[in-house]
Formats: sequence, C-alpha cells, structure tokens
Amino acid sequence: MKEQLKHFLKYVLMVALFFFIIMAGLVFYYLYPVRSTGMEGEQLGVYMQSLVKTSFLHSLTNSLFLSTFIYGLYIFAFQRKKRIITLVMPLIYSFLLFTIVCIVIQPDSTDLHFHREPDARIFFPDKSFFDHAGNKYYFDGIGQSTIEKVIEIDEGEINFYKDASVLFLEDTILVTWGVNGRRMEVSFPRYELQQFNSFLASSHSRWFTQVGSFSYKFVLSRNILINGLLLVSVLFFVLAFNDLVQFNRYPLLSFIVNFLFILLFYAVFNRSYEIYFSFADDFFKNETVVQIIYPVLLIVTGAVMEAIRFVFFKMHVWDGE
Amino acid sequence: MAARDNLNRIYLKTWLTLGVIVFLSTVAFVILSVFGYKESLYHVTYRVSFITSNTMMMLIDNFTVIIIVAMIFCYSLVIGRSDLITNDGTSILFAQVVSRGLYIIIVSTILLFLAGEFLQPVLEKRMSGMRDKSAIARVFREEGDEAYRLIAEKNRNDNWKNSQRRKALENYRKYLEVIQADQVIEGRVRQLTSTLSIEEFNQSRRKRDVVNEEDTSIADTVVFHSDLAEIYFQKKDYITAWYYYQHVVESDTSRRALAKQRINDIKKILAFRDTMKEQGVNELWLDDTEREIRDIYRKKRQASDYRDRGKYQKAYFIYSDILAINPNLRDVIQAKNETFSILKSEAIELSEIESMRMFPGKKDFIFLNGPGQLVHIGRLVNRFNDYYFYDITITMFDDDNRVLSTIKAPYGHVKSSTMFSLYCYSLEDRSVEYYPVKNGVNLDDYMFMMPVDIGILYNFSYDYREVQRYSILRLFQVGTAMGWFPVLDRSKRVESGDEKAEMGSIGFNDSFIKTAILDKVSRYFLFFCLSLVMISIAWKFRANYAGSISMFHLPLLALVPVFVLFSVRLSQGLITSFYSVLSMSGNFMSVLGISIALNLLFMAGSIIFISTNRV
Repeated sequence: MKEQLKHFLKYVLMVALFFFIIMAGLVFYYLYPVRSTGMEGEQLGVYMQSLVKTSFLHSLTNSLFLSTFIYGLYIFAFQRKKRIITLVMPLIYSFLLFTIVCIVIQPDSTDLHFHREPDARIFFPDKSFFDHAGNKYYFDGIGQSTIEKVIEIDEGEINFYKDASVLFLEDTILVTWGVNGRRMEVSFPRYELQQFNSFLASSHSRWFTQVGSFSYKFVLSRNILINGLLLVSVLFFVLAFNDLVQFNRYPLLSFIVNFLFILLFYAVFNRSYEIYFSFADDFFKNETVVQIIYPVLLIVTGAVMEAIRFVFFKMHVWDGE
Repeated sequence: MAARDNLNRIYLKTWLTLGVIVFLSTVAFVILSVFGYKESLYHVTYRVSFITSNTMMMLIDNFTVIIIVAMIFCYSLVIGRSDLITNDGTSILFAQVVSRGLYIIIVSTILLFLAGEFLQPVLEKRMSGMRDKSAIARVFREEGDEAYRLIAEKNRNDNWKNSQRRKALENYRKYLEVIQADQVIEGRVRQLTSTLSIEEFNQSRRKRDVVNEEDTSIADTVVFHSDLAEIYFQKKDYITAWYYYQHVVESDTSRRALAKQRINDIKKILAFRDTMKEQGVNELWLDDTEREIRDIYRKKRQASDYRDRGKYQKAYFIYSDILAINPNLRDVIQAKNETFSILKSEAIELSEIESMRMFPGKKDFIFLNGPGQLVHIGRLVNRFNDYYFYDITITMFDDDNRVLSTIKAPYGHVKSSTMFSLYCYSLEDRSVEYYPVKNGVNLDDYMFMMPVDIGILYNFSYDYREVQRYSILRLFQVGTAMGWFPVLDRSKRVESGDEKAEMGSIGFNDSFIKTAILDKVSRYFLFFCLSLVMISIAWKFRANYAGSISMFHLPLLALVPVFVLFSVRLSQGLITSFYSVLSMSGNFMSVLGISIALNLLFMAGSIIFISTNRV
C-alpha cells in the first residue's frame, strides 16, 4: 500500500511536470504572436479564455500519455511484485482525472482547435510578401476582419486591390475583394499551425501536425465514458509495449526502442484511427459500437503483448546474466 | 596507481570509439556521395571535387549525430564494469570516467562552430559554383556537339559546313573556358581550327572588336587638331592630315589660311604620287577624297550631337562608321572608346545579357522599392556578383493602392550595389535598343535606385535550409541592412533619418532571418547540452560489458544512430518553432537576450543532469 502511494505520488508529479511544460509552451506559442497584433481588452480576454481551454485539453491528454510512458520505463519495469495493481493504478488515476475534467468542461473537437478567434491579424504577416498556392501576396493594414491593401502577384501579373474583407469559415479563411463589380476570393487553411511564420522542414511540420492532432480522438464521442475508455486503452497499450521490450543486458536498447515507439505512436495514432473508422463505419451501423471496438482492439493487443512478455519471461529471452 | 591504469584504459577506449565512429561515418558519407553524384548536375571533371565537398558537407551536417553516437556507444557499451574495478580496490568516479568525453564535447562544440561559420559557407558556395558551371558547360557542349554533328552531313556546301565549324568551335571554346580539362573537346578544337583557316577565324573575331587601338606613337598630350594635322603630315599619312586640316579650316579662323594652304599642298602631293594614273581619273579621286573628309567631319558632328543628348549607342555606331572610312583618326578613336565605356557603365549589351540567361537564378523576384513602388523581376540571374534582370515591371501606386503608372523593360543590369539600369543596347545592330517604357513612351532616365544592397536582396531566401547554412556574420549583415540595430547604426541615422524606415519596408518578412540567427546560435548550445544529456542517459542504461549482448540483439544497435538522429531533429524542430514565434517581436536585441539566457539555462540544466551520476 505504501509502495503504491509512492508510485501514485511519482505519477502525479510527472503528470504535473509534463502538464506544466506543455501548457506553458502552448500558451506561449499561441499568445506571443497575438502581442504584435495589438489585440487588447475584452477581445484579448476572449482569446485568452479559448486559448487556455484548448491548451489545457492538449496538455492534459499529452501529459497523461507521456507520464504513463515514463511510468512504464522507470517504475513498472522494475516492479517484481503486485505487477497487476502497479499496471492498473495509473490507468485508473488517468481515467478518473480525465472523466472529471470532461464532465466539468464538456469539450468537443472544436475546443481543440487553436486560433479559433476570428482575427485576421493572427493569421497573416503584415507588410511582407508570402507565398500561397503558387502566388505571392502582400497585405498591408490588416485589421480584425479587413485588409486595407492587397497586392497579388499571379504568374508575373501584378494586381492591386483595396478593402478586402476576411471571412472565417469552418476550416478556411476567405479573403475577398471586389474588382469591377465582381467578387474575387482566395482561401487559406485555417488550422495549420502558424501558417506563415513557421520555418520547419515539411517532414518536421507533418510530424508536429500529427502530435497536435493526437488529442482529437479523445473527445470524439459524445459519451464521456467511451472517451475515457479510449484514453485508458492507449495508456494500457503503451505500458504493455514498454513491458514487452526489456533488454536487461543492455537497458539503453529498451529505452531507445520505447522512445522510437512513442514517436511512431504519435505519428500514426490519429491516422490509424481514421483508417479504422473508414472501414468500421461501413461495417457496424451503430456509432457507439464503432467507437468502442477501437479501444477494445487496443486493449486486446496490449493483453496479447503482456502474454508474450510472460512467455518471454519464462523463456528468459530478455534475461541478464 | 591502479586507478591510473584503469583511467588510461578508459581514455584510450574513449578515443578509439570516437575514431572508429568518425571513420565509419566518413566512409559511409564517401559511399553516399559517390552514389549521390549526378552527372546531370555536376560535370564529370567535378566528380572528385563534388565527392570531397559533399562528404565534408555531410560530415558537418551530421556532426552532432556522429559525436553523440560515439559518446553513447562509448559510455553505454565500450566502457564496461571491468574498467571500473581496480586492482587495489579504489573506486573510480563517474567524473573521472567521463572527463575525456567532456573534453571531446567541448572541443567538438568549438569545431562545430568553426565549421558552421567558416567551412560550411565556403563549401556551399563551391558546390553551387560547380553546379552553375556544369549547367553552362552543358549548354555550350550541347550546342557545340549539335553543330559538330551537322558538319558530317552530306549534300551541304562548304560555306554551310564552315559556318557550322565556326559555331562548333565557338561553343567548344566557351565550353573549355568553363571546363578546363576535357581532352576530347580539346582534340576537336584543334581539328576544327586547323580545318578552318586561321585567317578566316581571326577575321570573324576582328569584326567583333569593340574597342579600337590608338596610334601610340603620338603623345597623349597632343590634343589640338592643328598639331595632329602637322604630325600626320610629317608621318606622310596625308589623308588623315587633310582631315585634321579640314577641321582647322572649319573651326579655327586664325589658322584657316595656313590650313587651306596645307590642304592644297596635300592635294598636289597626292596628285604627284599618282602620276601613273590618268589626269582625269586622278582629279575625280581627289574630289572623292575631299567629299569623304567632309563627310567624316559631318558625321563626327552628328556623333557628338548624339553623345550630348545621351544617345551613346547611336554615337558609337557613327564613330565606327567613320573609322571604317579612315581607321587612323585619333580623336574619333578616343571618342568611340569613351562612348563605349559610358555605355558599359550605364547599360548592358544585348548579347551579353542574353548569354547570361541560361545561368541559374531566381524567378519572380519581388521587392518594394521604397513606399509606393513595387519592383517585379521575371527572372534574376546572379553571376560572379553581377546581377542580370529580365522582364522587369516597376509599378507605382498611391496610398489608396491605386496604380499610378507602370514602367516595363525587357532587360536590366545592376550597376552598383544599390543602383540598376534598365537600358540595353546592341553592338551588332544599331537599330536595337531597349529603354524602359512608361505608358508607351521610352524613358531617357533609365537608372533606378534600390533601398537595400542587391546582394542582400538576392540572398534573402525563403528557403530556410539554405539560410541555415549562412554564417551568423552574414545573417547579421542582412539584419543590419534591415535596420535592426539603430544604436549600432548611429552614424547612418544622423545622415539620413528616413533611411531606416525605408529599409524595413522592402516587403520582406525579417522574422525569417531573426529565427535563422537565433536558431543557428542555439544549435551550437544544443549540441553541447544534448551531448551531456545523452552521455548521462547512456551511462544510466549501460551494459555490463560489450560482450554481454547476445548475437541476436546486435543488429538492434543500428537503432542507436536512428534514435540520436530523431532526438536531434526533434530538438531542432522544437527550437525552430519556438524561435519562429519569439522572433515575431519587433526588437531583435531583446529576443537575442532571451535566447542566450534560455540557452545558458539549458546548459546549466544539462550540467546538473550529468552530475547526478555518481558511479
């Protein structure tokens, strides 16, 4: 009991630490650029409110995920007795924490979008040329939903426009202006991170996008329990994998394999769920069933991995001297 | 003493591991470079040069990964439990074990800095130079080969074949100017030159001489027409002397009588010299000569009139016409050469700029030339610090974003770091001239100013990977030009108060450069911090001894470099995103301060992390 309490405290500490780091990073990342747009007062308050909510949800799921990973590496791997309890406890803590938070906040997937505040100043760089869809644009005098001056360079042809308006749709931003009685429009993707101010290589940027979309599936269902189940299944899967890979003669290898596994999991989790969903949606008519089967699959796979680990253990596959 | 032996063994192992890993990576990079060599990009003669440069480039690019991998293997595998157990029972501390590794890390950080700041930009320049030269050489080679192939065609007359030979020869010579050693082509050039009579080729060359040689036997101090006339008279070049006396007759009243007398003398001498000819023919000839000289005089006046009006190409062609009649007229030669040098300094010659078109450059180059003026360059070629523009459009617009006027020009050439000319002339066809055109009217004022040095404009690239290879110094130069440092730039600000404001308004997003600087500085710190963290992790998770790993698990060791690569890339990616946001703030110096503080913080953190290892 005392040991479990120790594990609990360590786990909570890890969650808190990860949560703090991720939360601080996200808030900085999305609040700092807003500074230069001159947003203030009530408007800034509204933006802050949505930013904190979004960052909170992302930080929560990611910190639970990462803490469980570290828990598996540092605590569960070295546990020789009462292994099942040690395995199940963090899952229970996480489930309870997540469910309580969900009951309080009632999040849906739109709550996970950053940049929900429809303010053009956040999205576009002022007074500098940028590429979009093969054309170059130059915006001058960007307001909340207006752009005073637009210069468009379309295959060497230069056009000057005035008084463009910015419309915020579901996942695109439309910039429209009138030319000789006709409306012209250009659309920009709304939810890409820091569209014109990020200089990451495309491979990086793809990976970070995947990490950014990690949390979405945990608020997919209207049923909070199903969401909690998905989270628990993911955590269990990670712990089981951790437990499976134990190069006792060269612990660094276990660490490396697990580390790479986490990177890979981040990269494929969202995609794998979507692929699964596209198949399962046709197969099972009931949405709840579709949403339950995926976590169940993860849990079954995790259980199989635990079984394999048991066999390995008996066969001394990972054994040291 | 026993501890000393153990330590010596540990240090030897450290160095050996590093040596083996560096050697293996070098071999791997050489192999990758050999297979990565593309003949379509780099000419065969550059093959070895490409392989060495590319290998060095890859070594620098992956320096962080190589050193960290070496350290991980060293501290998690190579140094085993037996190394820590001494004969006399004294224990060896982690601090002692790791000391040589730390030394390597510190030296490597310095090396990484030097390589990143000095070697990498040079290599980058060298490789892009090779790519440029290969591209141009390929064009010349293909043109030459095509002409060379056509020579062998049947049913063609000699004239046609000779023209193909000349074409092949010209292209091959240009090709050899770029690619010094190509025996096949050298052989072909020898063969072609001997086939074409040397005289014929020289003739074709002579025609293109644009600068005429002066008669050097006459001192430069002689400038008066009367003196020149007398000198040519004494030299028995009577026609030239006649021309100068005619000048005196027309312009110098005080010496008119004497000049007229001299002209009569010349006529007599010329008549006497040609006594073999019949009388009537001779007189006709003298009349023609007189008419010719008057014609020259008239043409010269016309040429200087053009020069005064800034029509240098027209003047240049008229001077050439005069020299075709009489190539000895010294003042005409001087005037022609002067006109040519003015043309060169203010404009670009058509065939020269056309020959530059094939070089690599940038498409759709655009910048704001101060408020209300947008410059769009369809294609911009940079060659040996010379910049050639094609299809230029300058659009003037007002505060309401209404277009006031546009200036269009097919060619442009940068004349100084902040000035370009949009006038292009031809030395082959006097009717071909390109002026910038505004609303259908040719502009005589064809020189334009730029707000920022063209080199900086050109090098301002939105390709972040490319910018990452710039040295910090160069990035700072760009920053200075963008007006980031008002304090450092005090002298400039005093001179022109508005300049700084205009620099910032060229329409470039300078947070790009800010991020690059912060990123580049941080990557040196990152290497140091990450190395310490990785050594620490390696030590915590070390194996008892190298042989303890089963054969079955050995291939998994390949995951170590993969792991390091991912960790490094991940950290770099996080740092880049962080700084890209941070650098959106206006003041660069404060951002730089934050970045350095953070780096020091990380450094302290990594030092604390590594010092938590005791044994």
